[in-house]
Amino acid sequence: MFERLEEGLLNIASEVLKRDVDLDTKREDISEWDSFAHLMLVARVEEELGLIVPLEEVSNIRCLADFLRYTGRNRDEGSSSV
Amino acid sequence: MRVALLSNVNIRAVCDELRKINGDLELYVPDGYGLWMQELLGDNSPLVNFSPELLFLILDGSELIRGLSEGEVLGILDTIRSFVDKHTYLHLFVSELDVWCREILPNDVLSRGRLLEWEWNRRIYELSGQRERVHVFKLKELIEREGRKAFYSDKLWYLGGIRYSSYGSNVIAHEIDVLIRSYKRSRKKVLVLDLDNTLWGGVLGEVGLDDIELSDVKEGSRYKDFQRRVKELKDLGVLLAICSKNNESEVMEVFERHEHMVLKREDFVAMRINWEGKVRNIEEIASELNLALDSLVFVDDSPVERELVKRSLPCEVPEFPSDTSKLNDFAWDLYKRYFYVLKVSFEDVKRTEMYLQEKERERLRREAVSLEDYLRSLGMRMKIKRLEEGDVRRAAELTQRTNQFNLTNLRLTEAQVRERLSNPTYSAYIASVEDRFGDNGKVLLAFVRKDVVNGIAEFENLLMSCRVFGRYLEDQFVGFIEDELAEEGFKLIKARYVPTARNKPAEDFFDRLGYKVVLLEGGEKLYELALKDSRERKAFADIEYEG
Repeated sequence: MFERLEEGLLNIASEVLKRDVDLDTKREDISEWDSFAHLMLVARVEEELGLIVPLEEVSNIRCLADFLRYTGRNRDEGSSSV
Repeated sequence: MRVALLSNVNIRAVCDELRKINGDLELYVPDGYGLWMQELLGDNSPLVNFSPELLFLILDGSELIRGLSEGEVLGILDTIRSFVDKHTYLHLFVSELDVWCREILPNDVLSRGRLLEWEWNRRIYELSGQRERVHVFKLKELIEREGRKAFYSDKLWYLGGIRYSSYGSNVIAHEIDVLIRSYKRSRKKVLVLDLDNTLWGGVLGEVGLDDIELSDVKEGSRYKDFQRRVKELKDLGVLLAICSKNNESEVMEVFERHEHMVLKREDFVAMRINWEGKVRNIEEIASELNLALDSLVFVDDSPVERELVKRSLPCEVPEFPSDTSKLNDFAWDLYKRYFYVLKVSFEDVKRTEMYLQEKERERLRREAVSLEDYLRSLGMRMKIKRLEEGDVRRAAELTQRTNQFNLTNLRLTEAQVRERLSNPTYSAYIASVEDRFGDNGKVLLAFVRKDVVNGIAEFENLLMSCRVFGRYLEDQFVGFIEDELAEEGFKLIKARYVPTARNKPAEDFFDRLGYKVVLLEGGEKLYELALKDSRERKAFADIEYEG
């Protein structure tokens, strides 16, 4: 289940960012990951993978792996940033 | 094609998706989304300078009515109307409004948004009925279909002024694509249908007329509903044909006796009901209708038949729903993918009737002693007139849809036809033809470019719909134009033939009329004719000229 989630996340990210990515890809390192792309990532990850990133957490996502903190399990409490 | 998108919310996601679907578009989207009214009002706005052929106005209802009175909201429609009337080169798609009222209200109070969206939506349909170049973008209908919770995104709205979810943006982009394709009239012409388990449930040869599934209620009504949808497609100008493995006499009995058959025999322009292979039958249908195979869409519940046809022929073969409760959706899917129509034309409504009349003509022709005898017995009348605004749509359609008798294959959009209409160096003629079997509609079209100084006129293009082939109407039409040009003082006419994969039937047309080939290059022919030379044109129709 978790692997499928990772795969889905990487698919979405490579489409939105239009480049090869891995889970360690960091927002600050690539220019394609601008604020619009960031919103598109959040939207598609929520709509297509069923993750929920609370509004106040959106700006705390700094690399792709950060999305995986918002799986259904900890959906309600969210997860605080590093 | 130049397309502009204006909105009162951030629609960048829609644009990105649209670019993915259709890479050929030249898109204009303003940087900020608060500026859409200024874009419409300014004489020199970036939008006006871009001069799009199509403009989509996607308006978020809740945002639009915020802080405005009813009069102010509806006043926006006046701005839109004057914009369209002023910029005659474009077609405008105005969105329906959807107002999602989030206000806390007593149960029994009707929200302001409900009233406003209703009034707005009513008026834009009224406007599109009055204006050839105004169309509706059915935003509310899309939202109703998908559901507001899936279509909107509060998160994107608060974070980025993006009203729609990623899914909602995709739905909007796909709708725009459907509308662009419909505008370009790249639609298919014929829907070829199987019968058993397609237009009714069960196999006729096995269960018999009384036990096929087709009824007003319960299971059988899914097929009756599907027939209704197919009939509606026919009423929009889609030709229907049958290709079925059955005994023809049994099928005819269904048409005559089954009370729930929505489709009648006369709704179909061609039928192949036999035990031959479907590939061969479909080829025959195409040639009988004189249409290219790629303008056919074949619908059959059998995956085996579909696969055979798909493998051998260039026609469209959509999947058939394995769950037949989805037949209504399937019909809609066919409509949107292959046949979508913005406004229905005279030619659309009459199309099936015209094809059936053609069959009657064909019978008369076979019985006649000679071709000339037949042509005289038709009692043809050709009405020729100069092209006017009211003919623009049909003229563009003729240039887009005519493949065989299309001398230079110049495809024109409505905007390009209009350019020629307002350009004094052009004369454009259009002709309709009637005979004892009925009206063929406007079937001949010519654009003539005139060099008054040197007394030279040139056929930029000459077209004739295949439905009136073989009656020497093109000879008479050209003859008439030649006389007009001679009277206007022209000395020389030039013409061209540009070969394509399909216009072989027109290859020797000007040679037949005595034009001289002055240049031959890669199959392309340039002709000249001196107007003082005697010209004899075969004539079987009476000509009426309407100024």
